[in-house]
Amino acid sequence: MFFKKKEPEPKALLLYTNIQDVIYSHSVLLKEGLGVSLVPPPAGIAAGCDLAVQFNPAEAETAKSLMHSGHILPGQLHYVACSIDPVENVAMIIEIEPGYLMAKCNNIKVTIDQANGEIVNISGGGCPDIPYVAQTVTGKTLWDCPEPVEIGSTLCTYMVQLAIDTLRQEVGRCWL
Amino acid sequence: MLAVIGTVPMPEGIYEGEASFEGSSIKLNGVLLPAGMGTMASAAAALRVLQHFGSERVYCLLAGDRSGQGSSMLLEKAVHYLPCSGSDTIVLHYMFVLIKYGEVIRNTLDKMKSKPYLIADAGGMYLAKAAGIAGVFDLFTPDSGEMAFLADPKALHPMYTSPRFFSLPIPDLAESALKHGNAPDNLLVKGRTDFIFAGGKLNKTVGSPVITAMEVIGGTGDTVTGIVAALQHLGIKDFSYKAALLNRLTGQKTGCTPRTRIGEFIGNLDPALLEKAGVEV
Repeated sequence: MFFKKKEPEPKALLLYTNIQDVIYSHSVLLKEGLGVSLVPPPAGIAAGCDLAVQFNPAEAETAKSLMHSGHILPGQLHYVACSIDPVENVAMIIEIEPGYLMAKCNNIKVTIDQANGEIVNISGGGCPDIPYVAQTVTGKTLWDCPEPVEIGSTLCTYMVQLAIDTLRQEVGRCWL
Repeated sequence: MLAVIGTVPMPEGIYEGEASFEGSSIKLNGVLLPAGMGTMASAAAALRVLQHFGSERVYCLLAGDRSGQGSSMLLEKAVHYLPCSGSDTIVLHYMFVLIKYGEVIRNTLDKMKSKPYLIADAGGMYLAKAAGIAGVFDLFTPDSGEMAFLADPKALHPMYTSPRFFSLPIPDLAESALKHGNAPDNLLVKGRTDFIFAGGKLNKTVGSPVITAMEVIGGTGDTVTGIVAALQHLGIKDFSYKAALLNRLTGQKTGCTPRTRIGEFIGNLDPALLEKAGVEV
């Protein structure tokens, strides 16, 4: 089998170490009409627990002006020679015991009582805000818990959010 | 002394000192702290094991952290602590991945005459891999999802693990992680079956008792890390195998359900189970 070689496609990246900042800036840039995607920062640029907004270099001036005017938060602007594949994390749902559903997103597991949507446990992860996020949302339902990305700031918290969003879709579908 | 270094869900700042286990909490500098998931569950499990051997202290170097700032303070403090601590077993636990500290940690350890036995779990393990210093550690204690992350040579955080690694068997993941220098020779991989690797080879597996609900209880992986650190510190033979077994026996005694909280689990870690796991008291 022959694979077509990927052509270099220069891109601009705006890096943030706080998930709240990156989600906010991504939404503003999207509303401004930029072709944006969330991507993992490459080695050498990454500080560790960060996420980047990717867009065309031609749109970098717009992004800079939005940063200067305070419409998006200041991030580190970098340029890369090739585009980076967007993050595509998907949570998988398993019935762990009768009546309990677990959503697993990589190393994060969120478990709910299927009867009422109560979050009964969160396990996994290694970023510092996870114990706080877990203790804050556990015992609340999928609909009355605070949004994890509004109370946490790391990639592990972003995975908790993805797991909870997937459970909301799954349980909402079952209850219709 | 055994030392546990990590972040905790408390206001920003450094909390350090010799901790003890009282009731169902950790007592540090006169203050009782809940043994919740993460660093505290590891420290509590280690203390529970050490209590049975009359050695009731663990040195805790903790930082309250929600923004990453606490982790910077913690790592600055840790590199000063390491050379003069006298700790022979050290656990690095929950923390922000700050790649820039990798070389600082390596250089600090290189200068030490007597290197402690270094264990990493959670953020401490992510940092070690992302910074390329996994080789300075003696033992990693990942769960199966984290093992996939260690195996993926390109991922800098578990969130960026390529999906193809999640379908590979644990021995293949360990082989890949070792080949790329992203794990030490010794691994305790926590999961439905626990896999123990020693000297780069699969040594043992632990698959029973089967306690399905343990996987979803936040902190049951952290307790394995605390137990293995305590058993290694005490010089117990086959410490990884016995730690994995002891954790499962604790889950069995607890009668775990998906609603069980880690505090209750830790409370059930008792001397009778130590003997059952083959740990001589």
